[in-house]
Amino acid sequence: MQNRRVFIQQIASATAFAGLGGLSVTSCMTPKPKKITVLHTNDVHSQIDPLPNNHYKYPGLGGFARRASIIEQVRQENPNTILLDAGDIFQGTPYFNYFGGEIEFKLMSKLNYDLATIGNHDFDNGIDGLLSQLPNATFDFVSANYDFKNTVLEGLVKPYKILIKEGVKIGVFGLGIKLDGLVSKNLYKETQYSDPIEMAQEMSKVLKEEEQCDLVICLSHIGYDYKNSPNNVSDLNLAKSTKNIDLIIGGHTHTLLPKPVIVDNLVGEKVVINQCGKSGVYMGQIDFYFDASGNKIIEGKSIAV
Amino acid sequence: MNSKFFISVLSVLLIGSSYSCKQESISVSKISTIQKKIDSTIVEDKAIDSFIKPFRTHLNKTLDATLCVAIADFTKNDNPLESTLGNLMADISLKQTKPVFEKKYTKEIDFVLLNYGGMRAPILKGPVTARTAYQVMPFENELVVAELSYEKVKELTAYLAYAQRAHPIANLKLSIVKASKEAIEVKINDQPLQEDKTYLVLTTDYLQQGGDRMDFFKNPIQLYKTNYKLRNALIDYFKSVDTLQVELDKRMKYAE
Repeated sequence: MQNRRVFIQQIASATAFAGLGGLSVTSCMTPKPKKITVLHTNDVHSQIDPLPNNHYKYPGLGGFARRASIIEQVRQENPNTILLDAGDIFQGTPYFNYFGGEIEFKLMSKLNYDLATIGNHDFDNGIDGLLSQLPNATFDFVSANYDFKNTVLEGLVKPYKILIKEGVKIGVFGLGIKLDGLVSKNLYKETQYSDPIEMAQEMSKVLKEEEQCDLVICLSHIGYDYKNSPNNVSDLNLAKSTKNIDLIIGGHTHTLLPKPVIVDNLVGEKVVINQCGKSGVYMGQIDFYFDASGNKIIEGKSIAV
Repeated sequence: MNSKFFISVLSVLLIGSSYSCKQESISVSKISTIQKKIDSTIVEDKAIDSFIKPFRTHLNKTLDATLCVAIADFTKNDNPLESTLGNLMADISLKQTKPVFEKKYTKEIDFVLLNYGGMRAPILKGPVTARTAYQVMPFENELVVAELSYEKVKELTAYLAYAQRAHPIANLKLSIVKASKEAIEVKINDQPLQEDKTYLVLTTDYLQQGGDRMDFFKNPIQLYKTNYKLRNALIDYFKSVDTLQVELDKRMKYAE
């Protein structure tokens, strides 16, 4: 597998040389420092337009048209940008009630989202309602702990997907929350839920060891933290009890972290966790700088809320 | 270009490159993060906005079309134990659910209990629209019918007597002793409570699942789902009438 990665990187450079018509190989002597930008949203809840100016918590924030401008700006600064959503795309404004999710998926496609995971509210028009909107999505859905065998989504949702940006291999897997008790069975039907932490352990092993990913991202809709039940499965607990995950992008609890949280994982390595409230009021941006030094420095900055 | 030639050039390049750069693995050296606030200082993307526009226009037209007219302001703050908005919502829920439920199960709904906190906006005098329904009821709660034992209905009336709040009710009458927080003269369908009877209570799935600590709804003898959202009941009712009117009829009151 290591060889395959090397091969892909070399193909990329070889093609570039062929295109330039030159045979210079000097630039290849040391790996070029690379920057991967991850943009992410969660729990957008059909918030197509900005929230009203009299909103109790986030007056006048959000909106797809503004988000599109920011995303475009970031992409111009760094073409090696990926855009992810951590679920609960649906439900929350009449746009969903009247158009069933069509606008949400079409807009996310126009904004060139790469991947999303499935939140509990994405079942609100039933698993059939989700299926019927899939043709409007040019991005894929990932979920490692929902088994869609014996449902209409069988084969349409992968546990993980690998994105490659300038030779950097980014493995992204999805996690969803327990549906029983949260969503009517007649909506999610035969979807089988399994333990997110066990699945995350398996996925991170596959992505790091077998697929040899340079970056492993967990796209999670299990919730950041449950203060009243601290032992519940959550992003914080997930980070502490797994390894090989670089970034957890969360959702479900609508948590607006002032800045991303950094936690030690099972083997004492740093994991970044982030979540951006709800309704698209904030968008997270995390830049990973790659070079051959092997040193990992994490610095966080944020705009005050 | 001759394809054979191209392949050989490519392989030379490949051999060359794999030779010249003894592959060093890349790793993360630095991470920086930023939470971007999406506020009005950001210029909207015109193409995206013009894509949304026809949907927005259509939606606003639909939401703002007059369905009926309210003859007065209906709010939840008229009286300590009863409100015009509450009576209206409870009555509409019953009226809209009753025919379908009775036909499907050949059983009668006995009474309605919703919650005071679930009324999120008033209905003001003048045109009533679908948007009104979204403002009054922004949540996706569905109407459900819970079959409760005599004991659970006693708990329910004790809850109301203790809370002394204008929780919306219909087909249920009770007098509350203010000081002792007891319910007296409880009548359902104008009949006193009967020990040997079970009661079918219309409420929302939110309350049935323990919302507002209405624990008496948990583990009912039987739970009937309607797949009918409270908001849709409001909208359907608004469409079916010309004017909205409602009276305060002392369905919940303090004992004299």
